Order: sequence, then C-alpha cells, then structure tokens
Amino acid sequence: MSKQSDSYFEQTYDAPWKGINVDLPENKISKEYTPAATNWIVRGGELRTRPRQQEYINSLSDNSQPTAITSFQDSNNVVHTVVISTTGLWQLNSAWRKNPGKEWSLVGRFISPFPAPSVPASVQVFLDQLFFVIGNSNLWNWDGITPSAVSAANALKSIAQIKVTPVTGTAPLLAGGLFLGELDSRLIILNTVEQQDVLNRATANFPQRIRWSASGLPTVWDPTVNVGAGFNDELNVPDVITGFLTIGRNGFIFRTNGITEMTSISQGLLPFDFNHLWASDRGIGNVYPFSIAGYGPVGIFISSDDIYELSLGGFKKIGGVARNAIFNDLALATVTPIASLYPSYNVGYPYLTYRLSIPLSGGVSKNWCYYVEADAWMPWTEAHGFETGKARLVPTI
Amino acid sequence: MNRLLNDSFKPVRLLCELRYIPPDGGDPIIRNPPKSGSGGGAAKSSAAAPSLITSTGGLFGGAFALLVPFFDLRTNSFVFAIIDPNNFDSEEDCVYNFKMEDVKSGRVVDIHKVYLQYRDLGKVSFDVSVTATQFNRSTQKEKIEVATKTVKVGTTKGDQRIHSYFVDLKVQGERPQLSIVRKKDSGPLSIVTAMLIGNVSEENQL
Repeated sequence: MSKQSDSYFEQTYDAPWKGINVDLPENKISKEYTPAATNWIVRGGELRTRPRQQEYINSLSDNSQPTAITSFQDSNNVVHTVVISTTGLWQLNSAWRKNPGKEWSLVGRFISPFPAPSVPASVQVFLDQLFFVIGNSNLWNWDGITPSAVSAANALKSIAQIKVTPVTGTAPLLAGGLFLGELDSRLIILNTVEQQDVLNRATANFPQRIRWSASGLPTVWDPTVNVGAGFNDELNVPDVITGFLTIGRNGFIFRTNGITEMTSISQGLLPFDFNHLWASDRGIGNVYPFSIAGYGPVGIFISSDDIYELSLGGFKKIGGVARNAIFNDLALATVTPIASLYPSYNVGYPYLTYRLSIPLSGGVSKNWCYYVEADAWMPWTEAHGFETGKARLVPTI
Repeated sequence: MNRLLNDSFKPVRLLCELRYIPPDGGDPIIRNPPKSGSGGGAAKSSAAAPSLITSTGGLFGGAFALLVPFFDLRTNSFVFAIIDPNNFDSEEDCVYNFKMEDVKSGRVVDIHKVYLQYRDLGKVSFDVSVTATQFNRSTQKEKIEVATKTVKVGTTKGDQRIHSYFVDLKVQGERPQLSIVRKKDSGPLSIVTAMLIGNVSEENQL
C-alpha cells in the first residue's frame, strides 16, 4: 500500500460531561460520554475526582447497626441529630469532638424484639417530634424532651395502638411497619406489622395495608376512638407495598408492579381516595423497597424496566444510556440496595444527587450516583464496606 | 380623655407559660423546669423562663455534614462517614476512559501528544494512557498497543487556577482511546479539557 498523506487531527473532550454510556459501542458514543469510569463528579463543567469519603464520627458505643440517620427540631427549638440503630435511638452530643468514644448518647432502647430487624428505618418528623418505624410492630416516637429531670417516662414510646376484641386480657393491638409518611396532617404507616401487646404473641405482617392516624393526632390510630383514623387494604392488586412518597398533596404508594395514588378528599370517614395509576396487572412500580428517595418535588425509584424520576410534571425515565450497567450491578447485589437523594454535600456545596448504594460480594459496594443537574450517571466504588442507611445532611454542632 | 387613655394603656406584665397538652385531648400536664445542668448532653438552654421544659441534649444546628451510615470492613465497625466536598483526594482509584475514537474507520492513527487543562487543587499524580489496536492485514491478527506516562502536577496548597500540560507519548493503531487513572490517595484532580493530538493516515484501504 502506498502512503498518500497524513492529516493532523485533534479530538477535544470537555464539558458538558454526561457520565456513563453503555447504550452504544464505545467508539460510537458521543464524546461527552464515557464507556467506563469510576469515582468522578462532574459539577461545574469539570471532571473532578470525587469527594473523599472518610470516617467522621465514631460508631455507637454498642457498635450496633445504624439503620437511619436524621435530625429534627423539637418544641423548644433545640435541634437533635439522631441515629436509629438495631438497639435503640441515639443522639449526637454537642461536645462530641471533645469526648472521643462518647459521641452518641442512648435516648431509648428497643424492647421486644431486641435487637430490632436490621432493615432501614423509615422516619417522619411531625409536630416537632420524631416518629419512626423499624419493621416491627411499633411506631416509635420521641419528642426531644423526655426524659427530663422531672420525668421518669420512657423516652421512646410505641404509640400506634388499636382496640381489638381481646384474645388475651385487654391488651391493644400495636402497629408498626416498614414505611412511614405524612399526608394531610396524618401519619401513615404502610406495609404494616401488627401484634397484640402480649408477651410472646406472634406478629402478623400485612404487606398490603395502609394505616393512618387521626388528623393532627399522631397517637390516635383507633377508628373507634376517632373516625379520622383508619386503614385500607390494597386487596385488589396482586403485590405488596414497597415504598411511599408524597409530592404536594398527593401520596404515591409504590408496589412491586404498580403505583397507587393516595389523595386527600375529606376530613370524615373516608379521608383518602386510592387510585391505581395503571389498570394493567404488571406496570411501573418500585422493585427495591429502599431505593425510593425524595427531595422536595422530586422522587426517584427503580422499576423493573428503568429508573424513574417522579415530579409534579409526571414520570420521566432517567436510567438513560447508563441503565443497563446499573441493572447489571443490581442483579449482583448481595443485600437490598439503599438509595439517598441529597441536595448538597455540605451547606457550601449544593449538588442534588441520587445515590444508589449496591453491596456486592467481597465487601465491595458500588454507589451509582445520578447528578440531577447534569443528567449524568457515574459509579463510585467503596472497597471496604457498604452503607447501612440513607445518607442525610444533618447538623453536627 | 387623656387621663382615660393613660389609665387604659398602663404597661402590663404578661406571664408566658408553655404547657404540654396530650394530643388525645387529655388534661394538660404542667411540669416544673429541671435544675440547671440536667437533661443530659449539652442542650441549648431554654429554661430562662419559668415553667419551660428543657430538651434532652441537642445541638445548635449551626453546621451541617452529609453523614453516611457505613459498615467498615477494615475495623469491623459501623461508623458515620462524610463525603467531604472540601477534599477531592478520594480514597478510591479514579478511572476515566474517554470515548474510543474512530477518526476514520479502518485507518491507522499516530498519537503523539495529549493536552490537558486542569484546575490546580493541590499536588496530584496520575497516569495518562492511550490505547490503540494494531491490526495486521496479512495475518488478520490484532495487538493492543498502550503508551502510559505518569504526570505529577499541582502545588501544595492548590492555587485554584487553570493550567495547561502536554504529555508526550507515542502510540500507533486504530481506535485510539485516552484513559486517565488516578490511584487512590494520590491527590485531587480536576480536568477542564483533554485533547488527543496526532495524525491519521490517508493511505489507500485497498
């Protein structure tokens, strides 16, 4: 072959960086994408090594597994940063930097069953108080105030109680569950676990049940006490509840194969209307129970066919050209993936990010990050562990 | 009239008292404030007025961190990690493969330089590689060619300015692909622009 000429060429790569693209062969994608990358962030038009993840605060004194972290402001305007673990509720001490090993104080310890299930806790702040469920038959509540010097009351209270025809004595039915939310001034427990408050009595799981408290009364769950409280069983659908999100005045109850819209309609006997969004037997739903994450008007969840963003404008597929790589990793998950949606990394670094943490074999985890502003997916890796609860921006001073 | 007004608008003292009212409508419970220092932790005190119930522990809410509940296999403990946006020296390897370039399908490309624009966030060391496929038409066999250079740039404190850097490396073949690998704990790297520079042969395909 005779060489005729060589022509000079340049190929430039710069912003916008659009993240992973496995939808086309690596020589057919456009230049703002990458066929393979790990641990970069694309904020501000720069391709930057991702922020360092490092230990910041010591483990709880009993090294129990944290299942949620959050913060709330009590009725005295005092802020509490709290952790729910498999053993109880803990809060961050204000002088934690000066007292290594004493960063966390135990607020209240769970009772039977102990330790609690190691599923991610579901948290709701309502009326200046903390409410949470941990996958057993209790709706726990802490007001940030008890125990005080004049009160010997237990800090943690199991507050969802319903009168039942007594099987043994007059003990009420306790209700807890996997998911907790708030809509129209009512607390809502979904995928409930219920048990008559008698020692060693078996619990019953109602994966299709939604219970709500009376309006503005988070301790009143019994419809015979207040008709504003009640429950609904989603018996006309073939699957189980896998999550809950509220956007505006609408609640979205996620099931494996569908979504049910929960709309407030009255303050009377039937406060909510339940509308299954698709009539089909199989449809867009939430497959991974703890993959739902919301921030303001945006919610993100994983269905069988794609990852969806839910907002006031409707549903939008966001898995895009990275979807196949994400689902490959989801198929290899060793335990249930957990997702967080956080607006900023600290107060000075806002960057709305959905982070899907997938534990893989060998103690490695892959965290798929969706940068909402850039509409780009990028995987982060962790070689030495995995997340046990949702990441949350919380006060530390 | 003036006297009437003066009598009507005498300064008065208001007693402010917070009472806990159970949400199920029971009788209000009035609690005395705890003595100073009680209540655990170091709560922001709100007991200056009588009859207030102080909080148990608590914070001022003055600084925030993104806390990640994390199980660390190295220490076998459940810790709370932060993702620190003030430190981009990530603790894991950072790998970025750029698009594989079909400058002209089936043509051999000579790469002889890579140009980088980066922001100086601090000292950083990383590898710049270009991979290409050499295809022998007579034997129909392929060989992967890789050229790698280690680059060390940046200042100790990081001047936050954009800088340029040329990497000299030579590799020949089809479908060149630029890669950047920054090994763990090797410093913060922020790329503004990357460029592959070379020549593409215009020889006859036949």
